[in-house]
Amino acid sequence: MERDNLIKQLKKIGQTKAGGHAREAWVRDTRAELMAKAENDLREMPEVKAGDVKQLALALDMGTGWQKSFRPVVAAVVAVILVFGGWTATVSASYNSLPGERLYSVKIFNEGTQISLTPTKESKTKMRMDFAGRRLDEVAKLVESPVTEKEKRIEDAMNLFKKNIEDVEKDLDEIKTKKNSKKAVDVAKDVDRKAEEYEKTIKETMNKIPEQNKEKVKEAKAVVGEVGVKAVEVLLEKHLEGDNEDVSEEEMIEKLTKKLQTAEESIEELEQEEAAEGEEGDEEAAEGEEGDEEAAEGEEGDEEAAEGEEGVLEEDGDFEEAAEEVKEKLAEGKEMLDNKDLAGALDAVKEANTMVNSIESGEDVSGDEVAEEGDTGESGDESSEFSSSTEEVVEEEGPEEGSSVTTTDEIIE
Amino acid sequence: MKNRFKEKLLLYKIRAKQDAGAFGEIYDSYSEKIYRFIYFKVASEQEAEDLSSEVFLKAWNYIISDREIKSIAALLYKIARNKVIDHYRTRKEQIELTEEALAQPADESVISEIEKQADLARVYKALGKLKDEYREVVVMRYLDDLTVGEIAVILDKKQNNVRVLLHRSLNALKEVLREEDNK
Repeated sequence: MERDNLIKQLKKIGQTKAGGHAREAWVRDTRAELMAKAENDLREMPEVKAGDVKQLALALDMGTGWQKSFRPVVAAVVAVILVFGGWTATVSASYNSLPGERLYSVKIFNEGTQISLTPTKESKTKMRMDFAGRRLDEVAKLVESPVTEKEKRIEDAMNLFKKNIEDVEKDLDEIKTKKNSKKAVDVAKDVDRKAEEYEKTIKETMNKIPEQNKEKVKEAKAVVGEVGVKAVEVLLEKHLEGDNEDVSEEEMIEKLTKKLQTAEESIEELEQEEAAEGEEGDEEAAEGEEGDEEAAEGEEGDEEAAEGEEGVLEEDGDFEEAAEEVKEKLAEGKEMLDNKDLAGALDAVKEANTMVNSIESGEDVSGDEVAEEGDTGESGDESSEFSSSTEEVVEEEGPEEGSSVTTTDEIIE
Repeated sequence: MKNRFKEKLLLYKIRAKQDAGAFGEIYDSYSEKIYRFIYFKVASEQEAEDLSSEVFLKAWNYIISDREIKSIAALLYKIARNKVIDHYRTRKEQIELTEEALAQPADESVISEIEKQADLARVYKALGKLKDEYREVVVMRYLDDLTVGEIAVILDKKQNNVRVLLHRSLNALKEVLREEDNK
């Protein structure tokens, strides 16, 4: 057979779909699965209008043939466009980048710009909340992947998450004072829903997080809990101002009940952790006693055992006292809620959360100081009608140290 | 999908316009081809299906990442090739594809379709008797209509080397056909 004829035959075979004709059902099912994944993945990516330039440049494939000689010119033109108008051009390429990667700063930069270009505070707030969610996705990916400097990258993502959430909290204070109740309620509901979602995600991630990052994650969890409460505060404000249409009393009761439950679950979890640690402490103390029997100088071992036991008991005492106080506060909150004292119930939630966060962060929790501060309503947050010491606790922690990732707002500035 | 500009436009639609349908078009253009490419190497319908699905999934993740794609075809075939290599590597008890097995593909419906034209059936069976290196390049170039440049990217070879390989593959195919005629 001649070469040309052979090639013709081969091409015909190609056209007859020969050599393993795929089953129609497989082709169809695989397509459906892939499309579902594609749609889902793309839904999480914001549409980037200014990014068209880079994509078009990529689409035109400037790397081959005669176009190659124009490459520097086109690159320069694209660079100019990037600087003067289409700076988000590279963002589509940076969507999947993670902290520590080359394009990550582009991603953060783009987010900051999107926020700054968004006209209304309400939209900005929603956007910040969405971007915070991306940080959690990044943490989840980092946890699963065998990257270098994993702990540092996770910390960078958590710092940005915290910053986003703190900004949302500030936004909510501003939104609360605005006259357009419907918009404020809409944003507050969105923030509340996402805060719950993120809190859940953080809890689920906690088990997989490297030990070094756990403190940072706890801080993030506390902050996102606070922003959820702040959102409910906005809702309550609007409700009390008379907006029963967008936020009804039943809805408020439901939201406050949920917040009380969340605080209750948190303190129960802490109690379980404490109990587990207590058991470990007891074992250590018992080991000390064992050493006492074995060693000739038994007194020393005895002292160690006594010290160990005393230490555990002392801490247990403080913890139990604080936990009891949280429970009392929550019971008060429930009672207030039963009596339709919504503002009182919200204060109880905030105080309980403050105490829980203090316990969790390992601060000295005699309980009295925090509780009294909450009772007086001297929170330092003048814009808030409802007393809160939560903000103070957070502020006392001060700015993050050692973070190498520039935050969104810093870049914009 | 011969039109390279169209291909690039689809990538643009996915990346900049978040158009999932554009990926659907890519899948429609390549699903049969990638399946066949893999099927020739594993000779099992189930394995070919599993591996082909994985190829498209991996290609999707690549497309939405920040990496440049010169040719969708090259991307898909390269992933497919690596998938088959990984497949055999992980299976350990690599199935040696005998000449007989390759000469008699499992898909009887395809054979009967080709057998309607005697010449096609002869070439198809001869193709099955080629060694993998030759068959792969012939399938990509003549059955799937890939350019020499694309094949060079997939095989990590220079274009001239691909041309030489194609030349040798066609000679080998002719030789197999000659032997069959002499039987």
